[in-house]
This record gives sequence, structure tokens and C-alpha cells, in this order.
Amino acid sequence: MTTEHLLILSAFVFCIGLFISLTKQNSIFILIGIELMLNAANVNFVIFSQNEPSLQGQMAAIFIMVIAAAETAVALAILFKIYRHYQTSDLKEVNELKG
Amino acid sequence: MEISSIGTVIMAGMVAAGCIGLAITKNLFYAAITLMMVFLIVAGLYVVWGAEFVGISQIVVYVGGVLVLIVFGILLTQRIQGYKVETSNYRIIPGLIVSGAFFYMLVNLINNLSIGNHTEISNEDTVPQIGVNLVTENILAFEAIAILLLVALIGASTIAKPEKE
Repeated sequence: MTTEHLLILSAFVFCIGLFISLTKQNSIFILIGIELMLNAANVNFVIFSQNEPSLQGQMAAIFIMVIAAAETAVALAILFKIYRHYQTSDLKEVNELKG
Repeated sequence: MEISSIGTVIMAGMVAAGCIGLAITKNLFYAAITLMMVFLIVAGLYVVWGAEFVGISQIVVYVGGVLVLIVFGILLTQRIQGYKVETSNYRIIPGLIVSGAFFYMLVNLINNLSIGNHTEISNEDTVPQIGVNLVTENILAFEAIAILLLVALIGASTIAKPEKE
């Protein structure tokens, strides 16, 4: 497998994440899509940091992972609050501000 | 074809299959479990590519942290009793068009790139190097991300706290 094939794999994972974020109705499913996209970016960083002695790609991958964890925690707290207010996690029914 | 190359092909196929499963499933719980499978196989791919530390952090942070959070989110926000944990799709055609066009663009871009064929692994024992990098070159990013994580977690628990009646 050449580097190009691996890059195409990560592009595929990214596009599936994009598709999930665009089409699913449930907010937690959209969060799953965002996680997939972040993971695809990580895969690219690790692929390009092969044979690179200073390992900057792997450092970037580690920092992206921590940011993804922080993002998930905050997003789930907000979704939990929305659920408590609207009694649903369906984004079609969350349609008013300060209601 | 050597062993690690065959393993890479198999694992890449499993990642692609898991992603397709994620896109077509309607059950949230199946989606969470499939996401766990995808993350674990990607961690295996990192190890094959010579990035052991990133692979282990992937298992600890993503599978152990993020996925547990997502499963907790599913359990807290879905009415389990008498109600299916299912979701439906909408805007399928526009979503397919946008993501398909983006994929086509990326594949075109990758095909026009000229990358040297560096699939063999030469970085031996990357873990000590990463440790040294973390406290010398990347110390500012390391400290900043520690504070960011602290702020995010405290903020998350403050947001999710029930209001006083």
C-alpha cells in the first residue's frame, strides 16, 4: 500500500464523517461524525510523520486528541442541557432561542 | 508482500467497512460500538506505522474517554423505556452530493500530489523522543493544552449542573 492509498483512506473517513454530520437528525450522532473527522485528520498527521526524525506530526496528533476530548465533554454538557429543556435530542425540534 | 503490509490492507478495509456501517445504521447504540471498533483499528494502524505512543493515547483517550462519554450521553438523553434508540436521516441527497464532491476533490488532489514512497518505517523507539519533545520544543503547547482541558472539563460540569429551583 502506498502513501497515496492511505491518504485516500483518510479522505474517505473524513467524508463519511461529513456525511453523518450533515444528514443525521440526532445530535449525538452528529458528535460521532465530528469525532470521525478529527480522527481522519489525525491519521493524515501520523502518515506524514513516518520517516520524519523530529516527530512533529505525532505531536500534532496528540494535541488534536486532547482537543477532541475537551470538545466532546463541552458538547455533551450542552446537549444534556438542551435535552433537559426540550425533552428531545432531535435537532429538528430545537428551533427557538431562549424559549 | 510482507506481513505488516497485508495487515495494513486488512485493517484499512475494516476501517472503511466500519465507516460505511456508521453511515447507514440508524441505531445510536450500534453506532457507538462501531465507532469504538473503528477507533481501535485505527490505533492498530498507528502501531503498524511506527507511532506507538499515538496508538496507545488513541486507545486511552478516544476509546476509554470519548466513547464512554458518548455512551453516557446516549443513556442520559434517550428515553430508553418503550422508545427505540433510533434516529432518522434527512437531507440525504444534498449530504451525498456535498460529501461525494468533497471526496472527489480530495482524491483528485491526492492523485496530483508527488509524494515520495515512504512506507517503510525508520523511526525506531519514538516514545523517548516524544517525551523529550513534549518538555522542550512543545512545552508551551503542552502547558496551554493542559489549562484548556482543565477549563473545558470544569466548564462542562458547570454547564451540566442542575439549576437551583
